[in-house]
Amino acid sequence: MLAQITPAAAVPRFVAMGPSSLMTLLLMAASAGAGLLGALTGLGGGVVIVPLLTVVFHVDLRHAVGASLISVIATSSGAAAAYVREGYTNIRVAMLLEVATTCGALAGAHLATHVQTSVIAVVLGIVLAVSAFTSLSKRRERPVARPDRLATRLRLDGAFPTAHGGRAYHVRRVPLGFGLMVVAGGLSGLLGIGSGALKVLAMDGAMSLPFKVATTTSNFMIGVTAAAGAGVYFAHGYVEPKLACPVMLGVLAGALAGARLLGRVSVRALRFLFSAVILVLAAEMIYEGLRGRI
Amino acid sequence: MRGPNSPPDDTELELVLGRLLRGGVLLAALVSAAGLILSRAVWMKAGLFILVATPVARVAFSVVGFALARDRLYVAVTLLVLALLAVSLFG
Repeated sequence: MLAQITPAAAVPRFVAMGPSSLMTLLLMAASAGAGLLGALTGLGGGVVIVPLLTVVFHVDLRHAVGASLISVIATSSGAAAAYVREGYTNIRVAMLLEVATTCGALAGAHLATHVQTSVIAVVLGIVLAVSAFTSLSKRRERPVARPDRLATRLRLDGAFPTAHGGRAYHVRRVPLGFGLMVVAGGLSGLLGIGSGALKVLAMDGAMSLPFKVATTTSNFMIGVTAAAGAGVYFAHGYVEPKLACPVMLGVLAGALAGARLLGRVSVRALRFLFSAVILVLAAEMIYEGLRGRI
Repeated sequence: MRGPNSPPDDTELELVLGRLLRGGVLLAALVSAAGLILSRAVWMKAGLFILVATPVARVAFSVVGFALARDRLYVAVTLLVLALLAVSLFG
């Protein structure tokens, strides 16, 4: 995999400068902040890494996406282990839908190597703004009473633990969920985000999985989706170790600290704050993208 | 067919996979942190490679898990995911 690296067409500003130790520390600190807020609010650190790197640190967009995908793999895989232990993850649903997300991620990542970076910036800005708004809206559980034929044939129904023992649930609208997952994977590969919000929407909104099962299963899938995208960025030389390593380590440290703080701090106010930060970064991405400066 | 409660083989498989994921991330973080501190580009790349390989290994182990559970359908599904990842990494 690493042997196939070809030099990127344009030398990015960041790489041309060569990151100093101070710059590396700043990158780690900023990434840790993103990871911390992402873990506390449940939005994930990945959503702000690309705007942070491009707008604040003036990193080339595709290199920023490469570094972001790497950090998404780290946080998703680290957190998935804890959730799996609790017994919420539906591994069959995850595996079936990973066919969709990896297909989408491959297409999205290849598209990213061809499309102008300013177009990617505008799309990212729009997706960020939408995810900031949806994170503030409340979700309702809509349990399904009757089994669905396709879901039954694919053995997707499951159960999750509650205080009163296991509670069974039915899965439905598999083709719609699958289609939405192709889009989620595509956005992940194109923009370097985990697409957790869209994945949860597909599973909880379309397929009627219980919310907790949807969020943990989504998290389980994010790592595989991001790996499919990251492979393409690796092959095109868009994963720069001097950038990706400090960003990944920072986000991971922040996410771990966030997981420990969870339940001890008020998340509501933080969610508003983080959503506001995301909206500002989204506006910046769209503005700079439209002016062709990213 | 699955009943309302997951059979034990699924849960055990999920636990092993969870440990695998955490171990891979920890190793990747240690190797790339060492590379960053000691300024060794090869170690940094190795750390990133381990990180990307971790979810891929998770999928590969799932093939074995589903095979042990004699779940042919999901062996096929998981092999398809593995093939798509191979296309991404080596294509």
